Amino acid sequence: MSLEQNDIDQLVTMYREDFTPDVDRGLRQLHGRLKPSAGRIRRLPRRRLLAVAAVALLVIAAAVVLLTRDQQTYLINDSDALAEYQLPDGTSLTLQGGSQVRYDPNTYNLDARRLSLDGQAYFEVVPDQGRPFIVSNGTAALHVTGTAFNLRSRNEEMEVEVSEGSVILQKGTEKLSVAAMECAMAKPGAPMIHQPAPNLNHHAWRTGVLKFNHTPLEEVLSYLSDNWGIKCEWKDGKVCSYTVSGSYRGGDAGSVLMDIAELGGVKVRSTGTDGKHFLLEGSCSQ
Amino acid sequence: MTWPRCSFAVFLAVCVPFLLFAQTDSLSQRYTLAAGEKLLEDALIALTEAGAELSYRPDQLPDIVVQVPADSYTVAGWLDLLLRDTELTYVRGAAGYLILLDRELTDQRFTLFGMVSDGQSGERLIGATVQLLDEQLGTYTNEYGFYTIATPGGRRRLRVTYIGYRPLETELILRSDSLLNLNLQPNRELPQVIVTSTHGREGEARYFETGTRIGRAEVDQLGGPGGEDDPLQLARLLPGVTSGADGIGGILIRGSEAGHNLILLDGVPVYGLSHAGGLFSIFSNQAIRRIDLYKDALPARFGGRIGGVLDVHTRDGNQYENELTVGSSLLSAQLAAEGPIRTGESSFLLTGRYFWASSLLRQYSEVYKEKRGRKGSTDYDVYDVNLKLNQKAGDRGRIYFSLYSGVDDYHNNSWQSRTLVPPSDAGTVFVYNTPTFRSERVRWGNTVGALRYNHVFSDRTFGNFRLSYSDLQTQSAFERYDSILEVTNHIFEGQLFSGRYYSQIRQLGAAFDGQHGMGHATTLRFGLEANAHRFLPQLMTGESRLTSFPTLDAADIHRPVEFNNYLSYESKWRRLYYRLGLRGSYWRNGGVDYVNLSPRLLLAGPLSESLDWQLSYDRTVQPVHLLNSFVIGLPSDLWVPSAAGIAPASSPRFSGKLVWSPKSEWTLTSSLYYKRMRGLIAYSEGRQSSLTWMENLSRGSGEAYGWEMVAQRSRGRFRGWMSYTLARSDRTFDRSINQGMTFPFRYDRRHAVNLLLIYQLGERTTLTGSWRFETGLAYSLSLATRTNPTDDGPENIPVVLERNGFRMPPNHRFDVNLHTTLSGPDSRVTHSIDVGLYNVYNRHNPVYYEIRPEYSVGEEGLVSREQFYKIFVAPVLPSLSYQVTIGKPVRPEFGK
Repeated sequence: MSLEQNDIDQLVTMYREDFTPDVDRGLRQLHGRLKPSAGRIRRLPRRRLLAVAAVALLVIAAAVVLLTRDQQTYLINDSDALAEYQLPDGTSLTLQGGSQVRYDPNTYNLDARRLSLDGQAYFEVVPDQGRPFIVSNGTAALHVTGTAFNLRSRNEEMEVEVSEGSVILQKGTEKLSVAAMECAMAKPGAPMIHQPAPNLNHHAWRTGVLKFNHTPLEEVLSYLSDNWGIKCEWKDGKVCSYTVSGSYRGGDAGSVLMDIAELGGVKVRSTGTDGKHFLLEGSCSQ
Repeated sequence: MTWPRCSFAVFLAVCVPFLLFAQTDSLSQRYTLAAGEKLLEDALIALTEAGAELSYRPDQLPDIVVQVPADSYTVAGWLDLLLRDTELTYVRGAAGYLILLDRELTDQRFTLFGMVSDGQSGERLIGATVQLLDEQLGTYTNEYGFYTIATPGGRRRLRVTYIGYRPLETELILRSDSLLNLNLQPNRELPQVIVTSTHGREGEARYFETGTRIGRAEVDQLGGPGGEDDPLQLARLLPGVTSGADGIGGILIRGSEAGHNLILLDGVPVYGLSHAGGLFSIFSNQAIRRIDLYKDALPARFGGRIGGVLDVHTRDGNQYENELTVGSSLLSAQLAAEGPIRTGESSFLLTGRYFWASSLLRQYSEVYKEKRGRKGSTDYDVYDVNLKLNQKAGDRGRIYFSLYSGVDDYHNNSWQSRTLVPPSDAGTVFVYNTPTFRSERVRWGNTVGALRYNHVFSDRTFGNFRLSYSDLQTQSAFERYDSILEVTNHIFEGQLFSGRYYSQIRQLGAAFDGQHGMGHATTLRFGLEANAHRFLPQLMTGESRLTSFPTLDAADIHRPVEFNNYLSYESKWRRLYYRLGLRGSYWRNGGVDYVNLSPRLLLAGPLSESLDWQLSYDRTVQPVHLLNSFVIGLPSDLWVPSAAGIAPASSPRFSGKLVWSPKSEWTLTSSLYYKRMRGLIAYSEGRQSSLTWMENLSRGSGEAYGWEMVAQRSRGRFRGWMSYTLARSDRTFDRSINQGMTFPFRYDRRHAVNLLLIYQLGERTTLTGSWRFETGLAYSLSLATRTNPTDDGPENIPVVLERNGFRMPPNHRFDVNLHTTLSGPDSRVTHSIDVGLYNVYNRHNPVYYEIRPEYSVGEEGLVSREQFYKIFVAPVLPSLSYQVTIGKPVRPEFGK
């Protein structure tokens, strides 16, 4: 008798849910299937019955073991809006569009809370000293005890900006402690960067708030890129640099780019079709 | 399914206006900030924290403090308020507001113009420097206090300086052509600085201001004979300026004659510069604001004379406070009253001097003459009055009225007779009386009036209209006889000389002077002038009594007319500063006219940080001539106009100068000059009389060249200058003077050394010492006489071998003066005291020599001998002066 997938699932589901078989009904079904035989009643050999039950049991156990071992939970955000999720331990996370989080639900809250992130998310981690919260990608890992922070993990880069508490960013054997209002980045093949971030501009994709205080233009462009994936190139490689101060709330990133560029007399032209690539041309006025 | 569609429609209907409302709401939302004073950047940060969306470049923000009000405004309203005093503007960008540089402002050029005045009295400051710090651009105010400067718009930093005043620094946002009147506060901290002759003017102004300023403070500190403060005393300590002993003879600049100087009182030429033949000038230090002396590099607006220029500006009078000064020196009593007529708009100034010493002089001279056996007295009355009125005429104009009137009245007579009884072999007794009589009377008066109106036509154009009147009336007469009377037989023999000199000059004129600023340190000056003159000269000498001289004839009156115009362009090219000027003059007298062009060129610039150079060429023309005559022993110079056969005199001159300032308080100046004078006229040797003055003239030329060197310390406890001049001045006339041979000019002083030291004894006390040394005058001395073969004229004619061939002994004198000012704190009364000594070592500097016959008893009877008398003016004299000023309390600030 071959077991089909649906049957196995059903079996598993039922098994998980504290299965209590309805014996009478089963018997009735069994009786229903049995054809009455004339003559003598042939009794099943006891050994054969046992063997079938044993095989069935073996198969069921194997299926269960296999399936539970491969099972992961994916939290995906495909839309442009923000998606909020809650993890089994109570940690809430806000996921940016085009990002996903992956974790093993079975082992999640056992001795550690492990996740991996591809994209950008904001975490508010419930403090739990005994169970460290770890986010990793291939290169680096973030160890968290109880904090709120923004994490961007893309293309083997991991950048964290902490708004409360403190985290530890680890790459290989290097460990860097990042406190509130600070930002750190780990990239393969480059030393770790650690900077103050009093304005929490890396949270802008979520909060909509961009604050600049004598911020150099390169930094502004990096915020636009990290938060919304806006890529700017300078025409002929001529880079202009000036500092900017100001604040925006909930504006459109492209408009912010236009305004910041106008402050320095830099012309912005959209290239490509996705509305996220721009060519900047400046005469580097003053 | 109409229900969902309907609800959707309702939803839209509600939402859309809501959305719109939300859209405008973000623009019209009002914010309130914490009130108070904040830095602009902090105010903008507070605005963003309150919720406004804007961005700006912090490097473009000026470092200013703004007053944040407690009201609530929209973002646009806040930006209008906060950016008001900046060169920034704001626009609405795609995501919020943007603060940008106002390109309209910074790309355009605007003009800043106005007047610079004394903040306390309202007096306009002449030659104040106005600089724009961001651009190293500067200009200076003209003689009416007007300045104009072109600059890009936006935030400008301005610095205004003038010696004796605190520098003023101010910032403004220039958004259009703006009238900015600047007020400087006098530096009450006692200035331990010399103003006279300093080259410390800031910026580019020093290349174009080629005159030497004579400062009031130094004139006060120097004192003068009898305690009389006289600006010309200080002028005579400048290199290149000389005079006769004790000032007799006027002032002579660089080898020119006294009549070659252009003396302007508020723009009006003055014919008579001095009282008492030169002892004091007509300029009362109370009434004068500023005197500039020009020796070379004459601006084109000066013309009509071939010597130097003395440009005198009178004070306007305090526009805010009444002030009264009363004082006296050993010679004169002075009174000055000034104050506002309408506060801040108009003022008056009245000064007067009266030489009360004349009454003392009369009594003293009577006693003095009596002691020497003479009867008679000397009387000298001098007084002068200055009146100045000024009134604001609208926002852009001002009217000035100035009037000067002065009179010198001098009488001297003495009569003496000695009785001689010579012994005789025969035993007869002859009694001789020798009555000698001398009488001199000089009365001369000067009146100068000017009515001026200045107007600021536009941001860069300024004009001044002037109506002027100047007259000089001189009357002098002398009579003298030396005789011998034999009493017994009534035989009388004697010599009688008399002379009369009368001159009346009147000049009435109208003029316009304009100035146009063309940006980039370029200025154009131009003007027109028209004058009508009236000359009546008379000089007669004879051997009859004065009463027998004929009266004036109307045919002798000359009525010339003159027109002048000028154009001057000054600018700079890289490190070269240049000024090109051209003056044209037209003179018409009795059917004859003379047209002349006078070009002027000035080149100057810096050779290094502390070394400046200057080269100049001037040509000047003089249509009125001063005929010198020493016939009566007193200067009796006659002013005569150019007429048929007498062309105007002209003088081209070259000069160069180097100024080195190794340190800020030391200046070394070295100058060279060369000038030629042509068309000079003088009396031919022999008789001089006005009836035939035109016929007895000799024409000639002159040449003068020299080297002047000055070392000056202008700051500190010990300040002053030392100057040395090596100069030569010659004249060459036709055969009727000195047989056509070149002879030295009377005031050809080969060497001249001037030393002025001002020592600051205390904060308000100075001790000033001045010493001057000059080679003596060149004098025509006759050592022999010849009997007159004709009946005409004196019996014995003095014979002069060479004109001006005798050198009088050198002239030197040391004066000392202590000057102090006292005033109680917060008191309205200020006392000013001068104590000093004039001619400390009592050197008798001769003015001229006089030859008189003296009769005495000889071996064989009466002998007459020609006796030399060295006439000098001043022995050691005390000088004492005291003045009280009642007015605004002087609040000095020391120790800064």
